[in-house]
Amino acid sequence: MVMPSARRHTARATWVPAERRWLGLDRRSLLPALVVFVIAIVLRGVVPLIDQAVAGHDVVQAGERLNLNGGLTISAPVGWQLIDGILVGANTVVPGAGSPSATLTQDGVSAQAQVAPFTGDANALLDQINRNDSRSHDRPGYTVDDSRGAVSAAGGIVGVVEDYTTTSGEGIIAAYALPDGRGLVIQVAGAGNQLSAHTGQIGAMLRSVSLEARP
Amino acid sequence: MTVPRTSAEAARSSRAAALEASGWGAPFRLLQPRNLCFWVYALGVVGGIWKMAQYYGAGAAAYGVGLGTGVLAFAIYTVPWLVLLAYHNRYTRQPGSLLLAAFAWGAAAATFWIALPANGAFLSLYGKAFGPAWVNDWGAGLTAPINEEIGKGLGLILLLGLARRLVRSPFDGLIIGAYIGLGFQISEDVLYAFNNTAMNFGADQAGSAWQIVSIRSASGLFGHVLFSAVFCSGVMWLLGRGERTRRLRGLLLMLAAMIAHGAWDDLSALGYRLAGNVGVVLLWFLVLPIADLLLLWLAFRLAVPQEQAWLRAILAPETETGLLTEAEVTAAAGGWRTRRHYRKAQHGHREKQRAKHLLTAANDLAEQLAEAGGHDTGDVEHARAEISRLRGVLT
Repeated sequence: MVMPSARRHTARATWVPAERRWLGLDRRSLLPALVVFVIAIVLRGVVPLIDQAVAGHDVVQAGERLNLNGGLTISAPVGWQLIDGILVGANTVVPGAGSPSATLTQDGVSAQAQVAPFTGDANALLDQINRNDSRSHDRPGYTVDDSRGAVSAAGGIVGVVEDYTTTSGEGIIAAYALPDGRGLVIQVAGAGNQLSAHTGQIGAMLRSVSLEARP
Repeated sequence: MTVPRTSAEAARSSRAAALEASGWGAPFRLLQPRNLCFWVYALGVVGGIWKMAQYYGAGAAAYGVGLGTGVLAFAIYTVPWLVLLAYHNRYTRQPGSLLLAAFAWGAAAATFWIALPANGAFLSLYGKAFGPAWVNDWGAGLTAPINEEIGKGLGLILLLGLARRLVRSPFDGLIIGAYIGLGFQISEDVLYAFNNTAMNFGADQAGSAWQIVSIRSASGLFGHVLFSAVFCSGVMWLLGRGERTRRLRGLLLMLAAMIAHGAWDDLSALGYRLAGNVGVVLLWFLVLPIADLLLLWLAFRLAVPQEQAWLRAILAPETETGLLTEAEVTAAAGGWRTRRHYRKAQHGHREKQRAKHLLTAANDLAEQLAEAGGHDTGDVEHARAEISRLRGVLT
């Protein structure tokens, strides 16, 4: 039998010829795709794993205070790891520079301090934080225990403090309205037994808030 | 024995070679199941969107006003950028679908899938090695340029694998890089608006977001769009996609983009170290903007001649039939100065207008020729007829 002659064949740009396939994939695409995949995995997977495996955050020493900018400082609990934040007297390029936020951890307990402009009083600030946290998916089952109390800090600064619970643990929130128009919030979170083991240090930190007058 | 050719044949041969070399007119299809680059691209973008949903989902109910304000404001901010980049996407123009894919990689994959986890880990490692104060001064500038420029550049590599015929020159890298950078920049801007809202306790959310909108809108002029454009043109030189292989040039452009990025991120410490508060102001308002624009100008000047030569070769055969003059082809394939010079050389307002329309029509013809693979289709004939019409109507 004689087959009819085939029409002139033109290669299609989107067609992968059979001889150029490996497991059904275009061989030419393997190298660039694998290079990208490996680099991406190194950056987003391997480097974070290395970070988790490496210890060595600075440990707070006796007498060290966190510089939260504008003369605002708090005493950091001794022995806790400083994850983020700048200590008073740290060797910064701009002398005396601080940071509006700080994070400390110890034995599964974490403490975060945040400073930002706020025009209301301490109660309004704490109400605002409670509203945020009760809507946040990061804190499922967020419930405050209605035991709001005052915390007296240095220089006449008075904050308010409240305990809360979530489905995964519990914590303490303290809010301060500063005379310079800023608000300070300190949130401490951890499992119940871990928190209670550090009650003294946490209380001392909340009472250590100090605002130096700046010229 | 060589066969003597007429100049018309030689011009048509040059046109075919230019169309083949530039790949202009080749279709782009993102969905290519047999291409592994497609699957890695999909993994990155879907992974980025998933991470984005997790990030915003946790706090959207609490900080929704700030997030919404950021999204709306930066969506509007994107429009003039798109107009600017569309103007520069000329010569052998890249298709919109490819540029949309580039934008999506920058907005989702490079930002949330790569940079966010990598930056956090880098900063943490730096903190352990050098302390938090050092990180505060220098950490950002030695983190973001590495993770973010590489993350964005990976998108170009994938698009190279997905559009081999289309992505052919350092100028293609510059344009695609700019779109990846725009996606990254807008995504990062929204992220900053959201974060600032949260850091300000969720009080005055619109004000917190607007604070970021005003700062980032201005600083964005010398941001990711510029860095990525330069970096990705360097990637193309490095990969030997220029007229000649210029790997050192490619490496230097990539390095320069990373240094420019790092200088902005460490602006305060760098400026203060150099000359105190005056140094910060000088870097911010003078040195870095000028240096960045010079860098972009250099990357552009190095990349554009190849594109202009292709466009000239595509239009050149039209001079044989008298449809276009040599001067018109040169102007249509030139930069804005060349085009302006050609227009200004005409006498009278009507002639200047005619010159402007003719150049546009010449570029239309080049596009139709590219779409038709250099053949004389109905659309090509129509584009030619438009040029003739413009001459007839306006003379």
